[in-house]
Formats: sequence, structure tokens, C-alpha cells
Amino acid sequence: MVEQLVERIRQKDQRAMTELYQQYVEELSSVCYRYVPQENDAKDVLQNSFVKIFTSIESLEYRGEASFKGWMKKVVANEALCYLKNRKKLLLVEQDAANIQTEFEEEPEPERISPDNLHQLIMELPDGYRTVLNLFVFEGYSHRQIAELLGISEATSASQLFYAKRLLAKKIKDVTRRKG
Amino acid sequence: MKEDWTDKLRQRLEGHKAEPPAGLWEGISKQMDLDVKPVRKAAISKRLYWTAAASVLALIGFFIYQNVDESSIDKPLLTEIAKQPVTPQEQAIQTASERKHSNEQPSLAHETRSQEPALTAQAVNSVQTTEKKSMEIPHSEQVEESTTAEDSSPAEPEVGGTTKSLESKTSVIAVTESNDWDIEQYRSHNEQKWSISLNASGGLLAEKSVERMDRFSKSNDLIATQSSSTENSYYLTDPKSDYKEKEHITYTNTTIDAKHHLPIRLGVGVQYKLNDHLALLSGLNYTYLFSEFLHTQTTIVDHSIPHYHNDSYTQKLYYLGIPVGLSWKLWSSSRFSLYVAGQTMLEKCLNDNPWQWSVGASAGAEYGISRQLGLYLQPSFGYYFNDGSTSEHYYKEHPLAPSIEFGLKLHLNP
Repeated sequence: MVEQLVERIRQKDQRAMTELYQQYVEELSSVCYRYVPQENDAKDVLQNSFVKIFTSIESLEYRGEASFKGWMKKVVANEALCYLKNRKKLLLVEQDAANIQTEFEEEPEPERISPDNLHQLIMELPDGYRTVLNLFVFEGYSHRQIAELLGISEATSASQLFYAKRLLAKKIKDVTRRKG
Repeated sequence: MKEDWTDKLRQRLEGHKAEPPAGLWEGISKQMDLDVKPVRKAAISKRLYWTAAASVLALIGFFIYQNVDESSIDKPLLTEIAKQPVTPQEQAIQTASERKHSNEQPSLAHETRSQEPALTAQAVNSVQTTEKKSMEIPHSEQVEESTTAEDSSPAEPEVGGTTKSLESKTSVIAVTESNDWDIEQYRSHNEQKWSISLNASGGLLAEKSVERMDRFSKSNDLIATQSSSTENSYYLTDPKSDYKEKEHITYTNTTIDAKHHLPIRLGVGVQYKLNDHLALLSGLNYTYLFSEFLHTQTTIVDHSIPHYHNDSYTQKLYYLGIPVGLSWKLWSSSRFSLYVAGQTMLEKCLNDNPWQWSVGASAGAEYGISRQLGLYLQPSFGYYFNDGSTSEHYYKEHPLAPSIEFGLKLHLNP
């Protein structure tokens, strides 16, 4: 039971840490690779994330497994963002948000490909597209929040999402076409 | 409200797993100065699940085949016997079958007695068939009726030792001649004790969203947290604050909107008939509970403008349960039967929740579509005891929950 595992970790039980790691490492790796596709970089991010999880758990108020897992994913996402911001400036293409609606094209159809394929395609997106898409879609941030977080304008955030969406839709279509 | 494609994207990658980078644990272990290695997860692989499911299906298929096989082999053989009275023995049998329409008992008695050894030898196949069939035919009483009761013949004692063989033969022919059968009579007379069922069930209480205001706070809606940019306060409040190395006061208010979807259950059941009315029930059930949570967090940092942040989580709980119970048959006719049942069930949560215990009562109706197969519908009420976990799920929201079960029952020959 996760709650007991959390309690044991609070009491510095190292075996409990390994159990928690074993239980969630694959899902957290998936989140991490969505932000940081390179294995070596992802390893650094995940390592820091787990260290933060183990050390922060002491003051965490346990609210059920779903919430706890959400919190761990958020730790990984934030750690990945920190890493991206520290490493280099995100490659962002400024775009006027007003033009976006007129250029609307097809939407991605993620249900047409496997989750593994979809994950891979997101990893292949350019840094800026991928980061904004992750923050908007998976973390639920608004463009205003993304703008504050990344130090960009709201219009840039919107345009990055637009291009990410368009490119992802194209990539999904290519994959489905290849598979016939 | 976000666009639909974002929901699809999120749902598609919900619970997605990826291979962790090599040497990750070693790095963590070194950084935290740990001296333990991760235990190899004793996870049940998907392959194992499929193997188990295939085994159960194969087992059920085998039973169905066994039953179908017997009836399909028997019938043509019996018809053949009935249509080709070539040997004297079969002529005798035919005579026996005609006996009820004429009054030739003395000659029949004579003929059968003289042919007795040959009849026994020749009848091996058909007797075997009859033995198999005897599981399906209410033999003795029915045969007695067709051969003796109807013709109040004084010659009965003379038939003597061969009567049984003849009765069997006659009953076989009688069955081939008549396509009418009475499921209930057949089942009760032949002690068809075992049944296997495949079933599915779903909850009946409407899904609803339950909103709670900051259930984690002690007394009021606002919690004041003073932090020095510790990891925890950062992650639980404003993600942006992690980039600032300054002290701040954060007020947080959380509302949780929970939506528990109707539970879905699939199962395999076994039933052992103790007598004409009472039967013992057990089986294996697989239950799926799905819940959606929306956390809305309002954060005010250093008396600034409130920040609203939504996080949605989903929770999928899987249970494997073993029910044990009794059923009592209230009424039955040729094809229908009505019954009531009571059961208790212990379910192991395949996630990390504790065991779930429940009790239930149900009433059901079964319609026999053939001798072996029946369709049933069974509305029920279950009471689910609190599992003591902190997680929210359907059974905590609806401890007393109605549901409806339906399925297919296979009645096995003894």
C-alpha cells in the first residue's frame, strides 16, 4: 500500500525507497522523456527528481495514491523544466497569435497510433514546441502561466502550441499512412 | 475548456511507461548514500495475464466441447439404430417399441429371451450410448412408463433379465422420436450438479461529481504555509517559485471534484447443486473502478493576485475477488427458473489498496436455451465495507450499491 510506503520512507526506510522507485520509475521516466528526450539528460533529471521526492516526502500530506502520483509527476516535470531552462535558451519561434485561427489545420488524432508511438513523436518535436505542448496539455497550464514560467509572451506560447499541434498531427498522419 | 485533442492526447498517454535510463538507481543511491538495491519487481506481466485468461477460456471451451460432443455424437447414432432394424436383435427392439401399440407381449417375451446373449453382445455400443445418454434422459421412470405402465401387461415378469436392455433401447428410440425435452426435469432427474457461468455486471447508481472544499485542512479553507523555497512547498504550490530563492508566504485553497464511474465486473462462476433447491456458489471476479479527480488550487503568494491551477488525475483500481454464497431456487418451469442468492466476497486490489470485503443479495431469472446452456439476468444489492484506505472510489461513495449481472450458464453432466 502506497500510504504505508510513504510512511516508511518518512522513517528513512531505505527498502521502502527502492520499492517506491520500482513501482513508479517507468511512469516517471515516460514523463521525463516527454520533456527531455536524451537519455543522459533524462537520467540527471530523474535522479534529481527522485532525490527531491525522497527528501520532500517527509513534509508531504498524503492525499491518496492518485494525488501522490500526480505530485511525483509534477516534481519530474518541474525538474525537467529547470534543467531545460538552465541548459540553454529554448528555441522559440515568435508568431502573432492573431494569425493562428486562420491557419487552422487538422487536429492530431492520437487514438490512431499506439501510446509508445505517440510518446516517441512528442519526443521528436523541437524543444520549444514540446515544452509548451507538455505544459499546456499535460500540466494544464494556461498560456499566461506558461508565458510567466518560460519568460515568453502569451502569443509566443500560443504559437508554439499551434505549431506543435500541427507538426504532431502531420507526424501521426505519416505514421498511420506508413502502416497503411 | 481546452480543445478536445488535448484530452485525447492526455488520455492516450495516461499511465504510459518507459524504460528508465541505465544506471539511474545507482546515481540516486550514490547521491543519497543508500546501501540497498531495488528489489526486482514481482510484477505479473501482461503475458501472464493473457496466459491466465486463455487458460480459463480453454477450460470453458473444453467443457462446452465435451458436452456438445456427447450430444452431437449420440443423436445420429441413435437415429441410425432406429432406422435400420437389420439384425434380429434390433428387430426385437423395434418390436419392443411397437409393443405398446399392439398386444404381442407373449411373443416378444419369447423372442427376447431366446436372443438374450446376442442382444447383450450386440447392444454394447448402444448400451454405451445409452449410458451416456442416461445422464441426459430421465431413464427409469420414463422408460417404465413407455414400456410397462401403458400396457398393463401380465407378461412383464417373463421379460426378466433383458428388460433393462430393452428399456434402455426403447428409451433411446423414444428420445429420437420425440424432440420435446424438459430442461427442468432433465436437470433435476439427472443430478446435473455442476454449472459454470460467464458473467458481466455493472453498477446502477448514476455517476455524479462530488465536490469537496479543502478536505485536508483542519478547520478553515485557507492554509498558511511559510516556506523558504523548500522543495515541498514549491511543488505543492506555485511551480514558478522554485526559480526564486526568496522567502514567501503562500496561501493555498484546494477544491477536489471527484467523479466515480460505474464499476464494471467480469467473472467466471461455479455452482454446485446440493439438492433440488439449494446450490453453493463461488467463482472468480475481476472488477474495474475508474475515477476522475479535478484539483483546483487557488494560490496567493505574498498577497499577490490569486493563481488558479487545475490538475486532473485519474484513478484506475483493479480487483480480483472470490465470491462464496448460496442460491435457492424459488420456482421453475420447462425453460424458466427463478432464484434468490446471497453471497459474500473478498477482493484483492491489484493496485495498492487493501482488501475489499462485501456482502450481497440478489434475485435472478434463468432461461434455458438448450439442455446445457442458459441465459440469466440477476439484479442485486451489495454492501461494500470501508476498506480503510485513504483513496476515494465508487464503493466508498456508494457503500450500498445496486448492480445488474447477466451471463451464460453451462450446466455440466455429472
